[in-house]
Amino acid sequence: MDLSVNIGGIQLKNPVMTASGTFGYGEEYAPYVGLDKLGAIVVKGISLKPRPGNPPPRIVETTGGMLNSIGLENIGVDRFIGEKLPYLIDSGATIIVNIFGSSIEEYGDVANKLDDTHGISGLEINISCPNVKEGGIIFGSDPHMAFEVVNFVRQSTKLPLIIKLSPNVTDIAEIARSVQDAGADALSLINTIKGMAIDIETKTPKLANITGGLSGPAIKPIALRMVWEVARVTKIPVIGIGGIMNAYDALEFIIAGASAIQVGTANFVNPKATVDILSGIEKYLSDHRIGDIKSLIGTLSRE
Amino acid sequence: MHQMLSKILFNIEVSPTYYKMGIDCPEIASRAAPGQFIMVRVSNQLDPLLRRPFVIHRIQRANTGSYSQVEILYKIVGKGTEIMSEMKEYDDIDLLGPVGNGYKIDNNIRTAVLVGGGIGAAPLLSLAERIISQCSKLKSLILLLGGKGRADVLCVEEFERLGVEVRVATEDGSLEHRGLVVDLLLDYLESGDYSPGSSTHCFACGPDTMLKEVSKIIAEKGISCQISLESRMACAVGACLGCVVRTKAGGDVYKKVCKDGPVFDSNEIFWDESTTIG
Ligand SMILES: Cc1cc2nc3c(=O)[nH]c(=O)nc-3n(C[C@H](O)[C@H](O)[C@H](O)COP(=O)(O)OP(=O)(O)OC[C@H]3O[C@@H](n4cnc5c(N)ncnc54)[C@H](O)[C@@H]3O)c2cc1C
Ligand SMILES: Cc1cc2nc3c(=O)[nH]c(=O)nc-3n(C[C@H](O)[C@H](O)[C@H](O)COP(=O)(O)O)c2cc1C
Ligand code: FES
Repeated sequence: MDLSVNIGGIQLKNPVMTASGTFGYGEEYAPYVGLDKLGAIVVKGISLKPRPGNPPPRIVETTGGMLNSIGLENIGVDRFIGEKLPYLIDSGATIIVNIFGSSIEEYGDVANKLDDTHGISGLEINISCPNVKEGGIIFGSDPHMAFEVVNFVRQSTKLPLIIKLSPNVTDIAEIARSVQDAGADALSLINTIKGMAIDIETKTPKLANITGGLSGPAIKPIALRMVWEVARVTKIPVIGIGGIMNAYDALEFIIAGASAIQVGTANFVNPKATVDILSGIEKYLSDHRIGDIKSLIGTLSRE
Repeated sequence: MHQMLSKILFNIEVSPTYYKMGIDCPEIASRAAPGQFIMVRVSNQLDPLLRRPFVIHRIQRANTGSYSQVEILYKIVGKGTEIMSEMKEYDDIDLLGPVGNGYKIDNNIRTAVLVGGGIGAAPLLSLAERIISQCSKLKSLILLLGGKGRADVLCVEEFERLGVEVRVATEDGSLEHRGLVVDLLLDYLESGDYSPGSSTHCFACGPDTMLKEVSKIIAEKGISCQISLESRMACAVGACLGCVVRTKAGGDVYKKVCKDGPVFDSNEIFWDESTTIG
């Protein structure tokens, strides 16, 4: 059975990846998951300088999902390379580094530093974090800005570029086309959907940041629709993300047009979610006598 | 840390809305230390979604003599704990643990003052047991326990059976001192029944408001104090950065309650309105 897929030049042994910010730097989940067994590990978003993140409370559970306003806390690109990357390389994982910046130049600087670093298979460019003003969303919600940032990063690195799109836009397909034109090798979607929750006793927001990003099963239908919309109008591979809890969810995304999928919130509930999803996909393929996962991608039929 | 399906041994109401659950899980019991916690998946449905954290109340030996059971003490506060209260003996329960850093227990402790507010009594029982077995110079072990009313004052008999001196405060005056557990602490420190210096240690668990007060009072006396914090959690493995607490700068501003805690030195914490969950 062939589970391998190619995402804009990144060869993955299978289509199951981890979603940025939900799997730390990989080592946190190593007791539960063989990191080298997954398609790729996408690490927590990295910026040029360390960031402390937002004040707590940062998370709150909602019906079938959760809101987070972590605020892109991270140790910065230098410490990532020095302290976290060696472990990941040793683990044998395929490594994708998620990056963001507060200016177009900063995106370029981070990409450039990682370009010179051994062991990285590709970059995922976050232009979609809803939780910090400069954390990308201003780049991700306007097709021209999105074009500019991707175009600049494209010139800063030879690494394959996956652009992570925001669902908090009117027409996601338009943004997708625009970053494709700017030189993106692949797209990943969706990031979290902006939302909020209120404590009715104290009449205060449940998150210190007031609003946060919704993730988990609650967002799956929206994510699936967006992946379908984007995959129809773009030529580059699409990675499906949003509320994937099990293999059936993952297969829906693949049928809708995703070449690979990322697992996020599910890791919190079941630390072995990624490997469980992978074996579920294998079982489906063998039950349906499908020898190559690539023949399932985008097979949605209207009948 | 392990993830496993374990068998519930008992799940009983010990006081209105408070339950005690015993679970057969040698993997956790044999490694657990007082102050560490477990993450419980309360349902295999998608709602409630996230695991719930509960501190280890007691680590028990089975008939075989090895540590194989853990107990948790919990209060019904929402849908997750409501579902847990309906679980039955022999049901399976999905656990992750043991999580976090427990209390650091100095072998030379002579006086230990435990301060618990409401459900904050939960970790103090296994802590008291461990202090008694580990600290050969122990002279005095005292527990100051507070609650809104009599029903919120938990486990007094269990502590007394260990030989712990228990003093109680209730806000409504339904049991012993009317007032706050912090009053008991002030009285105790006033009485001077302890040897100031490094052989006296304080351990506290309870609501943020109580921990904040206790930290302040204790710091003035120069006594070391470890506090057990709560915060909303998703992963409990240090990956999501959701559970952070603000610390007094110097290095990282925020620390993870799940991985750097849940037990902290009270001097580390920066108390403001949004320290943890309020
Ligand atoms: C390290 C640690 C140890 C704990 N130990 C105990 C214990 O021994 N006994 C006990 O009764 N309670 C304990 N708590 C609190 C307990 O986790 C919450 O009461 C429980 O999660 C509430 O779940 P619910 O679904 O009933 O409430 P809901 O309000 O419906 O929960 C909604 C969400 O908020 C979270 N949440 C709500 N209250 C708290 C809280 N106080 N702390 C953290 N998260 C919260 C829940 O986990 C869930 O994600 C502990 C918390 C932490 C962080
Ligand atoms: C706690 C948390 C932190 C996240 N951090 C990042 C991040 O740093 N960068 C990023 O691009 N996406 C981040 N995300 C978004 C996820 O990668 C993913 O797009 C989203 O959660 C939807 O997938 P899910 O429903 O499977 O969780 C984060 C999500 C969560 C829940
Ligand atoms: S709960 Fe995820 S980092 Fe602590």
